[in-house]
Amino acid sequence: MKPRRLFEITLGIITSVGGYLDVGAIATAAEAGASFRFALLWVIALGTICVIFLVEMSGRFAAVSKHTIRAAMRERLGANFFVWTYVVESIVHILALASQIGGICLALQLVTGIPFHRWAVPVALVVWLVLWWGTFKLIERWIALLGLITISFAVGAVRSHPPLGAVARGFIQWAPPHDPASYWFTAVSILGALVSPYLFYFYSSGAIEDRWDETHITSNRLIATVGMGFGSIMAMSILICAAMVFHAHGVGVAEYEQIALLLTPTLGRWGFYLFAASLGIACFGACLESALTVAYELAQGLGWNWGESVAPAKASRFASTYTIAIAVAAIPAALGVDPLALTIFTMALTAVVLPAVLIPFLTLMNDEELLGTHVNGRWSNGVVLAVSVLASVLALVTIPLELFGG
Amino acid sequence: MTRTSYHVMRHLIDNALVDRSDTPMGNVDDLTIELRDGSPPRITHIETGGTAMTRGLTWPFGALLGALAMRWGAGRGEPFRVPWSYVLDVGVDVQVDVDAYDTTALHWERVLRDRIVAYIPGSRP
Repeated sequence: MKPRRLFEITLGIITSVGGYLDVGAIATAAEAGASFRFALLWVIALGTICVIFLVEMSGRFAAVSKHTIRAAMRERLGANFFVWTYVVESIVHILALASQIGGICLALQLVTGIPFHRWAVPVALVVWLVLWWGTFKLIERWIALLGLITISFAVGAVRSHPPLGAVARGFIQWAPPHDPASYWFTAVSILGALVSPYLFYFYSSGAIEDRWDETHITSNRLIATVGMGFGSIMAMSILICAAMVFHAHGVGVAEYEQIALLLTPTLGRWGFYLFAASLGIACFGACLESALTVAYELAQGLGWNWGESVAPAKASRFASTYTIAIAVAAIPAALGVDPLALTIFTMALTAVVLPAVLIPFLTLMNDEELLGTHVNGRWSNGVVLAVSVLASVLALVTIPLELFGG
Repeated sequence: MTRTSYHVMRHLIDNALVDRSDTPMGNVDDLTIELRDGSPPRITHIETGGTAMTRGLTWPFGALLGALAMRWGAGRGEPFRVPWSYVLDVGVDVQVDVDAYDTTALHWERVLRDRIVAYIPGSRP
């Protein structure tokens, strides 16, 4: 393998590790560990397998068909389908963006003591500035590199000396130890958080911006598997830390003052700052990705000029779209809506709409005219279909129970 | 062009439309067909833009977006038409031999750029 390609793969893996964690993954994994100890580890594993398949598919789709996912969906499934699904998806993306902005504000509150709602406008402004002035390369390289700070969760998990037997059982025990409604609701939120639709739209648009071709298929497979695999280790580490710190002492993480203490017992005062930095940076990266996705999808479906590396004057409708998305998404945090509550709600909602997002994508992945011999195999279809339907059905059953069941 | 026959729904309708320098200029939203006595029907124009696109949408977006396109669209209810003879290639996109910035297809792109985006620092490389 040529050194240049090796560099690309390494970079891609680092980007994926950095891109895996966001406020949803952090909040839901912490909640799972605090309430159910290791009993939801298997859900993170299941979600990760689904994400690996999806990310691999979206890269392969871009490399082989040269289409963006949204343009291909428009072409195959029509304008009506495009408008309906865009409206639903952009609501989910903007709620996710609002959650990420809330996550950054929370991280800033932890460090400075200034209430999070005062940070909403400055944070939104900085996110917008990076998109307006920055290029795709900037986001891909620097923001993702900073994302490696989330490795501190893995360090925290190792230093908390979890009982390995109990951790291993968390992967094979598929049943709630207590409180089944809450257990399955948390499972649904984890799936909604890990299988974030913005992630694979972003990844495939990036592959088009980087002009991938069929020679990228192998490196794409490596990046998706290793990158997302490492990412999931961070999510599992958060769950383990929360189990060791909170569950052991019977503390919940419904309040963000509590969740901030995730790394303090193992890493001391540094742990507090590492947690805030990890939360802030992971959310910042996810903010950029989800804001761009809102604009990518609209521009690609309507045939506008688009691209994060294109100057705003050359793609003014595209740039205006992410500007509006960021402005709207900053409102909940500015009004003081609890970022953790918003995140958990958004993740459950994401789980409900997953089949509506993923099944059309699967139809594209099986289109021989677009992908030739590179269409999906049985496993890719089966895993993604099974996980998305499972998440959606579970969500429809558990959300009413969680809301009204007490 | 490598192929000689295409399927209207599979290859043309809703495919992306680009100009001669690959600038995106919307989608193929509709086609106009001329019926002729004694010879087969013929595609005369590609139609693009909000008016043509919203024609096919169901409630509520058809009525809602259709009214917007009628009121604010560049053609005031008339879609932008490209004669079929301008088509250069049908593939990943449909490429036509025009300059997108000279057409009404990019009306709102130009308006946004000239009236708002251009005044914000950093909008040009």
